[in-house]
Amino acid sequence: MANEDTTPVYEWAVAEVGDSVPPADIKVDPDRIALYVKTSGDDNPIYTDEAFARSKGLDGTAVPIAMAMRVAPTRRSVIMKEKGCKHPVRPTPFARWQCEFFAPLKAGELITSESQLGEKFEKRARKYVVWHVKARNERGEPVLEYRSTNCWEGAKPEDRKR
Amino acid sequence: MSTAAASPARFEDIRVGDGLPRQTWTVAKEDIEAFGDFLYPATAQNPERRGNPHIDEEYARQSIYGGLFVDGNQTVALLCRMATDWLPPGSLVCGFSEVDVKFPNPVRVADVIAFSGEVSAKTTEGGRDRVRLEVLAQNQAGKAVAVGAICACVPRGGEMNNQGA
Repeated sequence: MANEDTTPVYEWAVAEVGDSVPPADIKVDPDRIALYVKTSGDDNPIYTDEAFARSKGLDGTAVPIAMAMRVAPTRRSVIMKEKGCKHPVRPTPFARWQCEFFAPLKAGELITSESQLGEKFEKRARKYVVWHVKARNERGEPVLEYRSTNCWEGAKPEDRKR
Repeated sequence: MSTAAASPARFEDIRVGDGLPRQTWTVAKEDIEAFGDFLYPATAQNPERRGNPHIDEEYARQSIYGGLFVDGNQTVALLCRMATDWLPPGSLVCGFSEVDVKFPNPVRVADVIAFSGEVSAKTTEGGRDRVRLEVLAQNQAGKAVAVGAICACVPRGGEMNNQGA
């Protein structure tokens, strides 16, 4: 007899505001910044060229703000696993990203982030979840907060044609 | 939208209505895969890769999208590139930036995406000079694939720009 995966799916009805994971530490690794610059298309030399960055008045190379998604990820799959669930077998389209920074990201520093399911809502027959992430640097200072919204249920088949 | 304005050196050089130079991106499958490897590293136990429609081509083909499509995070990165390339150096990265972007339509392989932006406000508050940009990314059919705003704090002359406050 084949083994069936009986792990429950993290459907919208199962998801609860407050579902979370313990904080995670991720280093702002210069190699990871270089990979971001190489793969994202966001390749301004202030991120990689020390002399160029200093010539523009910076005190060294800068860290792209879009690195936030890598150094403070939502870790939603881990949140689901902590709840004893697995990710739905369907795309959950990224609907909105709202991020606020309170300090610059610095290469080499350790970022500690906390992630949780912060909101659920319905709009036009679609069901959405909003992941909340807060991150601090190694001095304990808030660095960023963001909200990442996914359409969890109700993405339409016509999306194939859009 | 006004015509593209030259990159301003200082906050004082920025005017409401200034248009940012348009940037374009012709999406290749390799672009999607490479960014997927950045965002979801190919480690044996990474749960973010299995059934990920930005990495797993067969899964994506069978999904409602019918094929690989771009992770919205990559679209955000390219909107940030447009802003970074135009604003005075250090503006987005000095802390105190805000990004709010919605993704009304997917971005697919072979799409040609045009990125545009315009200055909608300038404010000075709490000793910080801030600029708000309305930003937009559209595909070749003119459909919006990303729309929103980027607010940046523009460093003042002589500041150690990426040191924060």
